[in-house]
Amino acid sequence: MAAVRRWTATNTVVLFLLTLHVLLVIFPFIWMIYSTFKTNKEFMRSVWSFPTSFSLDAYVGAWSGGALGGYAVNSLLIMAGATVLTVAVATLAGYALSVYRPRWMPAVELSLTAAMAIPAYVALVPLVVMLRGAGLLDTHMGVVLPTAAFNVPVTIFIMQAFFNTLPRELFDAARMDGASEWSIFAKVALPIARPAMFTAAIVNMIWVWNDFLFPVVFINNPARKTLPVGLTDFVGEHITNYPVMLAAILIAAIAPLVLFIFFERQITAALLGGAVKE
Amino acid sequence: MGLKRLLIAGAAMVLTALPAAAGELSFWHAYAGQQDKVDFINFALDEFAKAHPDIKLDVVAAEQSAYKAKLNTAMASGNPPDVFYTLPGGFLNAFVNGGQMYALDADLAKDGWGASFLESALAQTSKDGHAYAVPVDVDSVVFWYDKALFAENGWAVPSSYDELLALAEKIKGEGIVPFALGNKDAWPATFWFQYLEMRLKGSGVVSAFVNKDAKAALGDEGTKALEHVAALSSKGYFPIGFNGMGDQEANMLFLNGQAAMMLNGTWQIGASADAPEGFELGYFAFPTVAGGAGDQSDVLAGVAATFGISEKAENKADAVTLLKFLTSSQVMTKYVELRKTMVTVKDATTEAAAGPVLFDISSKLMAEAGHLDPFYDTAMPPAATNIYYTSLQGVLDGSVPPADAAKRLEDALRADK
Repeated sequence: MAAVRRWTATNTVVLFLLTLHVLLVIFPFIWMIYSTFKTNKEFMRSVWSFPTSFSLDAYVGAWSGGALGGYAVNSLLIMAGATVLTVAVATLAGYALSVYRPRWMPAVELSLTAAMAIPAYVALVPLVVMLRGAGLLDTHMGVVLPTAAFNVPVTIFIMQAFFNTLPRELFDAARMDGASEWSIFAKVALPIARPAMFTAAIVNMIWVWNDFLFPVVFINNPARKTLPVGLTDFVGEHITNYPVMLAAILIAAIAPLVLFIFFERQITAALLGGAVKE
Repeated sequence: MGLKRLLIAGAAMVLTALPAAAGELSFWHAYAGQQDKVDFINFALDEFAKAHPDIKLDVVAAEQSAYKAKLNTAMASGNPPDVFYTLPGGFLNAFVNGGQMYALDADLAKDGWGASFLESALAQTSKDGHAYAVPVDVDSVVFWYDKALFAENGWAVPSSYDELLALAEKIKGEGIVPFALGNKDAWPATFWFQYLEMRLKGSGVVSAFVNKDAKAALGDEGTKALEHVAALSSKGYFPIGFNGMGDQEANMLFLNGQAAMMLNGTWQIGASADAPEGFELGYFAFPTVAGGAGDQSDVLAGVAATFGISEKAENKADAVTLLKFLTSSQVMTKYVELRKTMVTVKDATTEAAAGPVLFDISSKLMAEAGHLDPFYDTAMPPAATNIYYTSLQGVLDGSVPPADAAKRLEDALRADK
């Protein structure tokens, strides 16, 4: 519309507010970085001040205080396992729920909605009993399976909502050409569903990466701890060495940060998915 | 990317673990997350391995709050560890009521093991005359202050509650917060209520409820104590936003001289280790309250941690050997030295290990106390503890009238079957 863009007073105000907002958002992160170069004594004296000397002791303490590298590998394994399993199941189920509509389908949907209402805490004790029976307690798989089970219902709805947007004619045309139901799914629906699966995967990855409850309860072996659980080793009941704790958090943040840098566009799109109608 | 490949990748995730070998003893503890705790357990377990190479331990450690969730789930699912760390009072009693704890009476009676503990401490791990755990350490609550700051301003240590209030008013006038308090987790403010109740009515109020004493009551003193607490808050003697502030944040105010005093447990000694130069930690007893019916020398002091054995443990003899080793005076003296907290084993809190401040508390304040009253919040059942915490927070922010809070707490304590 406006052919010539002119710098207005409104722009200045907006720019000022946005700059302020960026500073507010980024400051905790910057504070975290420079605080790691302080000693705990310095930190206790003044929380906000810049370090007076440059010390890497906090990183040494963080690295030797827990096997952060190993925790990251565990987190990645559990994240990958649970995400792949959840998205695989949810894609199949979401497709079925969208395309086939027998009379009893609403009952299936209702039971999925009901499953979403069960808080994880309630299921904790039965899950431990079941996992022990299956010999899966204290294993990665013992975290992957229940995590996937809890994330499947929501993910099904994400996938179902996507398949609902596809025109039925697409499938009908394939059916007319004599394609089997399986090849309609595998050759027609699945290739188009890739962006939706990616969205579902990213949302799941974030959930699983941050999950604390299942890993803390189901995993005993310190070598199989995930990052969020391992990080609690740096928080004391009455005494905390803050620079060491912040250094540990920074090290732990490297993996998701790298992932974010690589997939920034997709992640942003995934998180905004459904917010606006295209 | 084919679906088949996805599924294969999922199946490849099956990573199985070796279960604990038979004959091994599983040992769970919460000595994690804090350097002094980690140092202690490393020392104890190394020494144990040297002394008993035949007993293999399968050790699981978790930080306090995560540990509680873990242990509760393990116990509820019938999969308890053989030997484990547990809190005394309501937390332990829940396991005792479920028949999950092994009674240690016979073992304590042998070789003077039982006699090596302070009786008042062993009483806190016993129920209906049976000991279900051995106590490890004792925390007591006192007022902490910076001697240098007090000397600089010419403030004197108060000996009565009225003097304490007058001092607080003076300190507030200087622009300094009189009392550091970070009550986000709700336990820090309980010390104020409990001490006031102890001074006004006497020790043993909550213990009486727990022991089903028919005469157990908070009395009018409960309301009065809560009114005092509400007054401290409304007069602005606590930091701004204290109900949302963490205990460790409040501690920073104290260590930096932005707050003058702190009513806190003996762990304050360890927490003051990284104080700025010139800070000199001192303590004084909770002052006497005029007209109070309680013994004014009583001290709020309770067992902080205990070790117990599961009823299901297969090898109880080895489990007892581990507990005896952990509570031996050699290990316990090292505990005092590393953690700067008092232990429940007689004569293990030595002057050399404890340092001057802690030894003074142990040998004078505690020794001269009429009674030691354990922490209300851990002594009562967990359901009542929640009500205790929320009512007290309500009283502090002015949303719950003291009389209502007292009634709520009393009802919760009575409701326990």
